[in-house]
Amino acid sequence: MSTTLFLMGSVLIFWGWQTNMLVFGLIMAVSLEISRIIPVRWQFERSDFRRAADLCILCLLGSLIYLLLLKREPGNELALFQWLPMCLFPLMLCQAYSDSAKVDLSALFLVLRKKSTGDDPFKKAIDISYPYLALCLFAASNTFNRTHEFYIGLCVLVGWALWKFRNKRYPVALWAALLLISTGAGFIGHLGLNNLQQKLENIVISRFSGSDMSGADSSRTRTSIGEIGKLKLSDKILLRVMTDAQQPLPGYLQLAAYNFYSSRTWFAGREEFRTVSTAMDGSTWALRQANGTENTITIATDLKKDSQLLPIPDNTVKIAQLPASSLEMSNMGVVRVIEGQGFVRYEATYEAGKNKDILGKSSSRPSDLYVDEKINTVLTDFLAKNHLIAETPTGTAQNIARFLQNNFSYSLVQEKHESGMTPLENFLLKSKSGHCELFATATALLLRSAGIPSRYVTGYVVNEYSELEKCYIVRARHAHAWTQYYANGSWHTLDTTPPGWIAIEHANMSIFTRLYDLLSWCKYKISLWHQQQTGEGTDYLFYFLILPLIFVLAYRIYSKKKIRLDLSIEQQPAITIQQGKDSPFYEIEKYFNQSGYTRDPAESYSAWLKRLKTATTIPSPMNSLDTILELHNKYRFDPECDRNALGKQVEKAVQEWFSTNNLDP
Amino acid sequence: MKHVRLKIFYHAFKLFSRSRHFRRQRLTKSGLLVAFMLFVSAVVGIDTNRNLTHQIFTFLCAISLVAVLSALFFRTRFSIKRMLPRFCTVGEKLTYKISVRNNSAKRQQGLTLIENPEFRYPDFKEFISRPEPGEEKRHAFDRFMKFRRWQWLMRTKQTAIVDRETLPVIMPGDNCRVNIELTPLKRGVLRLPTVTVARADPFGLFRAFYKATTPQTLLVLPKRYHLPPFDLPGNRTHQPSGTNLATSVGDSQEFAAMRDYRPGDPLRSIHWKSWAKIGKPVVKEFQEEYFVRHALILDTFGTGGPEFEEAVSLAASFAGTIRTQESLLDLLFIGPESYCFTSGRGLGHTEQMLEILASVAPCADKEFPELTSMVLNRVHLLSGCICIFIDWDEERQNLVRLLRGMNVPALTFIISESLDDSLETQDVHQLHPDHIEEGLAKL
Repeated sequence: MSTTLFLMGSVLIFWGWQTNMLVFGLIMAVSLEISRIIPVRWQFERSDFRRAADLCILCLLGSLIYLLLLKREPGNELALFQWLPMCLFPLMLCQAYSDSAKVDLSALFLVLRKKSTGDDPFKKAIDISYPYLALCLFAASNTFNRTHEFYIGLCVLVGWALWKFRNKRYPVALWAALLLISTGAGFIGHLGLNNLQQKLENIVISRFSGSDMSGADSSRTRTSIGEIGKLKLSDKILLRVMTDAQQPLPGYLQLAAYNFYSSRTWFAGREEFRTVSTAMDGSTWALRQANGTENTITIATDLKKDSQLLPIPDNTVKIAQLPASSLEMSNMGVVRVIEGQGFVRYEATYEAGKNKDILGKSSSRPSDLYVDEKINTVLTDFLAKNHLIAETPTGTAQNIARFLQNNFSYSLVQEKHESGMTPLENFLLKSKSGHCELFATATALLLRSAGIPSRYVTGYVVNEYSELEKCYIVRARHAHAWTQYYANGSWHTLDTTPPGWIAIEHANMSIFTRLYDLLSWCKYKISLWHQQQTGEGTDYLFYFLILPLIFVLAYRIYSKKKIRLDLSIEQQPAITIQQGKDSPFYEIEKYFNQSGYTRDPAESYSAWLKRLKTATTIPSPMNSLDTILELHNKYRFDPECDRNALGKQVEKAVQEWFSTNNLDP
Repeated sequence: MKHVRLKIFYHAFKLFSRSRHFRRQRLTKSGLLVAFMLFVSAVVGIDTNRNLTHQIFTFLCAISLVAVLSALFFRTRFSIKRMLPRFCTVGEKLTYKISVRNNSAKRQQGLTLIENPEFRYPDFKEFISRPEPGEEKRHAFDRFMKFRRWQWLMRTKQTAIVDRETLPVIMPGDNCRVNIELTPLKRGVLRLPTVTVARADPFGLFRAFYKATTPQTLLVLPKRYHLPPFDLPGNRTHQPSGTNLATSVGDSQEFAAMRDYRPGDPLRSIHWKSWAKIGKPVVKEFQEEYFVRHALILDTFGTGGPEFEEAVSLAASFAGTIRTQESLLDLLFIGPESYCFTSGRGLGHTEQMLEILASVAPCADKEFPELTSMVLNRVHLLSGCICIFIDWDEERQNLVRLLRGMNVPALTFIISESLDDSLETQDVHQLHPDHIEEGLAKL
């Protein structure tokens, strides 16, 4: 290996430590570093390197399949990066123990394999030690430990690696100072970059977040009011809902709720989440006490993020079979999963026919009545003009629902509204056509204008039954927005979107949807199967796949032709000391070499001294050096000289030269 | 529209090549790895909430910035002198010395010397008009993008490969000599306009440059092949003008060699014992009065592809191999005008002929009949001809027919990718441009 002693091992241990694979890291580190003292090398041919590269590709593909298709846990894409050093380890190992100490390029690039054939020696070979080292650092970075350990380790290891390549023109202190400056600048840089991303994300989210509910933000969302063009929603299946035939189907699955509207955006305000206590099994979560008839549905979905909102029916009292680190719930009944387990199939128990009463005595808050002054005028006029105010809040709500459903139409296409008009004004006064978000927003604000507390809720509508899967499926286009209003001491659901919206969107369904559905079903079945297998603790399948491969490789390598390196050559002292090799004259040469006046290997000492005399900036006087050289030559090459006497003579002359010129030998 | 597209492609490719050149010149190997890591970390670490790769990015950014900024502080003075030979040969490694004198007051170390052979990027006209050989066989995407053509053009423009050399420590006012290894890739005049002294930054990633203007040229002779022993065609002919210029006159009775009998050889030269031994007439060779005069006819009519280069190499091989002490060799070709250069018997030297061949360029503004008439004007002087053609069309066949009709034997070589076995006769040989050496060995 061309890396400095223990560098590769340290990087591998660092990688193992960062990715919680310390055992693998240690094994790999020892396997590579020990190659420095093991004297055996294998004479690998080009085909052997190709086999090793193929094995790496197989490992990579196997990891890809295992992580993305079978294991299906959040952060799998990170895990794939983390596994890269392990996947490419066979190639690195081959290089470390091969006599060529390099990898033929044709092993790495398939294009070159076609060109280079036969057993001709490696024409293009590279040392992959440093690229592999870089790969290990990348793999180690694919974790999310918000500590400074990674950065410190990174700086130390990169500095260590760069030490070998430093320009010796500069003093070590300058090199170290520059490295420290770079470390500091990099540290400030990455903190700044992180903050910049947060700010950019906030800007982008506030400007461009659409109506796709899958990534709903519990603290803020924005309706698509004012967006021009067609809102294309995907037919992708997001959820599967299974229920008994006798039980009523919950029409809506709530994801998020919002209570503050400003500048075309709905906010959840400073909504605080509280942790839900769990039962002993770690997968059952009680949201509140049940006091009525309970129904249970099963929901299957992928929890893709570390923290994600959970779709649940109204009045959910308990969630079971949901493995997660913790579960949190807001005052508005929004449930958030922390560190979910990828594919989940959980049971939600809810009270049928109950109104929204998640906190028991949950009441409205001032923000549930807030309407911007400017819009309020328009809304008040609208209510008055259309005689929508009734004596009771429920009556007013029913009037608004009836009026909107009878006089407004559903459309995914938004016509460009007139300048000076907000999209909401345009919807209420001019176009009278829009999508669910406009209906829900208009309803919530009309209710507030009439003095009834209301909220804007997003989630999914459950209405499509799949004959293939024998359960209800919820697609991305079933994402919906509706309203909740507060009356008679509890919250009520009010959906004013004309009921035909589902049919309209169904008509826009792609012709390939059925094919996608079939694929999605297959994927679902695999996930289900794997979940059951994992539950039985059969992760050993992975090891059954990989272990035989390792044994086959080990056998093949062992059976290859080996050569034995004589590592002791460097450590052996010179067998014989040649006459005069201990001449003190070499001290003078050493002194000049250190001053920069090096002697070419092919240059004789007399020619060298002659050259030194012509140098303009020679730091030391050159007098008497010719005499000393003459004595040295005699001591060095005359076999008949009195070696002891002459040796002392040379030593004395050299010491005198140093002392006369006030120099330290 | 097509023109605009090609213009965009041309500028994009040029930019790409320039950046690659910059990368190779300025970045060390470790610098290249750091640059690659920087790029990958920028892509992988774009979401700072997903992983910590952005920390690699910022740290490497800081290191790279320090490295690049340190290039601003490389202020020094050197005197650089090259010690070049007169000639070199295409494809053969040449070693020469460069002397570097440190004119600054500081000790200099950790420096690298880079020789900069002249390089000109292909111009747009060339890009659109010079298709790569075999381009029609490439798939549609390559033909559309023309990047392969650009790569080929870049390769043809490369004049030499030079290794970087590390300079030893140079004290103030001192100088050092380093050996530079240069492999010329194209025949002709190789210009070496500048030499660069490079200094890597403290991390050893990025090089700062001191560029010294030292314009010098080197003549690169064509590649030469080893020729099998040839009996050149033709017999001795009286040379009315040649003898006047020759250094020696008259048949010497000095025995030179034995060779096969040629019509016209005096009977007294026949070595009877050898005839009896091998069964065919063999003559003793003495110094000649009547010279053998051969013409080396080079076909320069073409686009200047590999066939042309190989034809020049083959001509150079003949020019360098034929013993011209006893004969004359006329090199005939058409360039900007008609050229005839004679060497042998003291008239000219092989080196001069190779110098001329080093500078031969394809002729685009004249037609082949001009060469035919030039050869026919001199045919009365010639004992035989060596014709090196890059095509075998009617005009070339006609020239060979005419020469034969005038009893001037012609040994013809056709260098072409499309070989036709039916053309192969005793005097006509075909050679593939990629397998000249093998082809010659088979003769």
